[in-house]
Amino acid sequence: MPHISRRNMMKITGALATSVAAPAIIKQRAFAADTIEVGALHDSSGSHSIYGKEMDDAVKLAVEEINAAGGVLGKQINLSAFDTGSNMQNYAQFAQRLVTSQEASVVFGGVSSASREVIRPIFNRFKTLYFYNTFYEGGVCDKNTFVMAETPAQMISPSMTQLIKSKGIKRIYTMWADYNYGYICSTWLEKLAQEHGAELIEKEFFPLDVTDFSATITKIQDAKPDLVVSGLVGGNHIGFYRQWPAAGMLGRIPVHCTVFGPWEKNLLQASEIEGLTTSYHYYQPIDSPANAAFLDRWAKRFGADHPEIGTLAVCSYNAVNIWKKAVEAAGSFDREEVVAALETGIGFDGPGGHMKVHTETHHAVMPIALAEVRNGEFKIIDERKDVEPDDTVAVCDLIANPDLSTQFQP
Amino acid sequence: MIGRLSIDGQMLAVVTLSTILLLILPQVFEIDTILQLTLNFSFSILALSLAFVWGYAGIFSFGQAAFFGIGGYAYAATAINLGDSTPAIVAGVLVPTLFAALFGYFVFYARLTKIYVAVITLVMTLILYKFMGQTAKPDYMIGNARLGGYNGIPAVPPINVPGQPHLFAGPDEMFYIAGFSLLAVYVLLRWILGTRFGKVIIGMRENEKRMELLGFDTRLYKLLAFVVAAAVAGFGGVVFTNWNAFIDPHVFQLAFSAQPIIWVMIGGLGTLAGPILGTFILSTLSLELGVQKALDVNLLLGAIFTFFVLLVPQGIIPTVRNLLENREAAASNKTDGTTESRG
Amino acid sequence: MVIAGIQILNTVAGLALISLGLAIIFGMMRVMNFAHGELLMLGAYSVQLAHSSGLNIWISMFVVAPLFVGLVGVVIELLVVRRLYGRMMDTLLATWGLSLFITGLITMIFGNMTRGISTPLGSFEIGGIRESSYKFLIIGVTIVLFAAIYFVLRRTRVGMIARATMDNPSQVAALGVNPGYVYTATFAVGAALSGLAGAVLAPLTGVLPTMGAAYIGKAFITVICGGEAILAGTASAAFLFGTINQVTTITLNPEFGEVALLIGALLMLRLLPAGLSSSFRRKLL
Repeated sequence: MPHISRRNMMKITGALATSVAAPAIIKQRAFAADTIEVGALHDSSGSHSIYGKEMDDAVKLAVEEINAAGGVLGKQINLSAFDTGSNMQNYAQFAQRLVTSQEASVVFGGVSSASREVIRPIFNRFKTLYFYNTFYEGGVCDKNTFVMAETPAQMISPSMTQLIKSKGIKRIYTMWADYNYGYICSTWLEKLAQEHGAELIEKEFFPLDVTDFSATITKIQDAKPDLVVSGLVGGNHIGFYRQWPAAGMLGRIPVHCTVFGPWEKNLLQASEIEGLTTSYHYYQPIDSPANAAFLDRWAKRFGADHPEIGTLAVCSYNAVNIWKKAVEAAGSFDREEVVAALETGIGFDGPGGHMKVHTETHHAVMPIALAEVRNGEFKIIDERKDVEPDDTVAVCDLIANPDLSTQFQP
Repeated sequence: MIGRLSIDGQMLAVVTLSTILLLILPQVFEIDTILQLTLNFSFSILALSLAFVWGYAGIFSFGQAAFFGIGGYAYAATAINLGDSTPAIVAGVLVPTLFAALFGYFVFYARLTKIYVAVITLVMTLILYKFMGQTAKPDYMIGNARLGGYNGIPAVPPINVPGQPHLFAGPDEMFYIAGFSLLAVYVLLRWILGTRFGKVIIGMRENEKRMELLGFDTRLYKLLAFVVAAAVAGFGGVVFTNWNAFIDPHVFQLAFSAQPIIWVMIGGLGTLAGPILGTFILSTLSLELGVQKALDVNLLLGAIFTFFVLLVPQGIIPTVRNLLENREAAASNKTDGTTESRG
Repeated sequence: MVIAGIQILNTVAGLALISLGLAIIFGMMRVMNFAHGELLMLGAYSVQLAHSSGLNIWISMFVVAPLFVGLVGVVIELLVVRRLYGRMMDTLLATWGLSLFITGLITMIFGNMTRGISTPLGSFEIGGIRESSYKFLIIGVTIVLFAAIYFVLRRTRVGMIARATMDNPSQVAALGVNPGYVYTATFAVGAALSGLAGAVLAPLTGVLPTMGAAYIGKAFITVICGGEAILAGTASAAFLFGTINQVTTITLNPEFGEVALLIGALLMLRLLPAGLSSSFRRKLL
């Protein structure tokens, strides 16, 4: 579809159209030359706020640090951070505001995949560079969009390879949230399990509002798998992590969770989740000088008693810094020049290690950690460097096909 | 106040004034205000559909937002498959109309009481929310359009010049389309209410038994009113889906279904202008509260709504109208009938 | 098979439990309380807060939650419902406004996130399958509550006065009982039962401000499809829909469980607009 063709439309709306053209000139807002407009869209309230809040905070922290260090190309960043309140309509509304009256030169944000698919077309239409920083189902292939977060290949491959090998797992029972993320991740896991000689004996899908998992817990016991993989998502599905130990199953069959960060962990008792495994780019307990320094700054900014943060905060923080480095490399805020600079594989040493842009897919190459819950804390039990987003690499090449703007499904 | 002009005269005044306003506003306001107004136009169409079925036909339907959503989905699926918005608009009105006819047959021909109709339309909305929420499986396709479960259908093509998909509407054009659509719906409903059909449904609201004794099949009239309202709501859904270029199941959620009820209640039951006013006041309020976050949106909406049900059950427009009429009546009494009769 | 039977019974009991308070308020007072889901939610919050501040879980669940929500019921009756008796539609609207208000209030105070209580009582094993013992508690509580209410309404003076007031308030007033008190008390009892139901279910579902919405659809159709008889109607409708729901969940998958329940209800109302209990011979409670 061609981008917005106001001119063509004006021809046909005739007399009305002439009156439309004038305000475009009147409305032009003059921005001070020493600032650059940047937008952020995160759910700081509503049902997704357990994820969105730390992302919003992370972008704010990154921007404040950059401004304190002199800004980007000598300009101070003027950040417009909107709270989208876990409501898709707000995403559409605020995204349109950012690209029109605000004239943002880059926008960071989107929490759920649904929200990303609402705003991604808007940023394309209005030619505004966009960064999405939430782990997701993979496959987005868009010249204008950069994803600085984990895809299934990154979250699942290293951790499952490690688990299957170390525990000799053959039969895997899987349960997923009944939406896009669940379907794509399950397909990816199936492929991966086959490669390692294991099989998925069940793929069960649960609507997001299901709270009672007793039927499934019975089915799992009948099936006697070597491993349970949970791709359950959101507040209602937390019920599983309570009902599983209540049925006396904790520790009897190992459970690996594809969506389980500090956001979920802190809603549960330590005794309910002992031994669960999970895998992301970043966990707060990662032991490194860079992380210690980062946590220090985070605590100074948001208070020493801030909630435990996770990979979402760090991916968002990295994304802002990667954008800054790209602008400086390009020597310009021009969208096409910044995209070209990003495609050179610009990287940043973040709290979770070195993250860099993957040229063909606009995704990120990053270290991945496998963690196990022990006494209510994440304990890192395995780490891999430079994990690539293989699922998206297999389908997306933006250097060969720069006009793509789609999300591939496996 | 009413009756100072003839009905036709009033209508002419409304149309002229609205047209002038619609033409002037985009010159005055920033683009984000224009976008906000466009959204409110689509919501106002939804409010009008409820104003009609509840305020005039006396049927309290929790399901107007559901028809709005069905209209949006039908538009999205058709537009994605055909690449042209013209048949999609037709589908966006036709599908909810047929759905309402089928559903309404079950409800009205079972002669369920008002309370039961309220609960059943609520249940219908809940079913739709559940159903659309679990369509994430790749097999849920309508042609090339994936229903997408909770994620909904993104990247819906906007309205275009019939037969010319590359000439499509931008934000300013959408403003005019939505604004004049609202005006057209308003005029249409006014006209329907003036016809014999309109008078029958109003009579039915006042006294159903009487209308039945007069020989009217009230089941049929209720069903027809319900269907007309569904068609209007579906059209509102088309405009809405155009505005944000996606549609997802949140339109079937309780919180969303709640909105038109509040708008109509507060603007004034039994009027058409009131619900439009209510929509503009409350959806602007919701947005501003969402930005400032001093108060929870639901908290305030709930408080306002309960307050109105208890103390201003007629809503803003009828209450103001009564106040003015009373004052006029008092004034004309004082001057001992020297002012001319205002009929 | 035994396990499946327990699960079906558990779903039926859960449905009856969440509907009971609503059924009493609707059946006795003809008030359709649209804030019902929020009363359940308040019950869940009461037990979660009381327990996490160190109170014994059973005291929090069986004393604190019903008491607190019963008090909320008194306030709602005095401030809102009282002014609208006889105006069913307006009561429905006003309580529905309240439901928004309460959801908003709780969101402001506690935030929009899921809190939880770990499920007490451990597990049991039948034929190599482990299952939570808490299921029996839910089934037991439901049976006890239904029996208790039957007893109170049928066999006690208080119950007689309550039923008489609903039939003919002026006559009861002539006997020296203020019908206003009876209305308030009935509403409060209905609210307390809802609070108790929310509290009992909280360990299984988690606690969150919008959790009421997940219940009300099911509770409304159970009560409406139950019909005139408060206890027998609610129990039979809960039995029918609970079985449909759980059998669909076990045999097909959880996607269709609740949809099947809702569609079943629609069909049933077309066949029996006055509810299940209209087909019973004797007039039951």
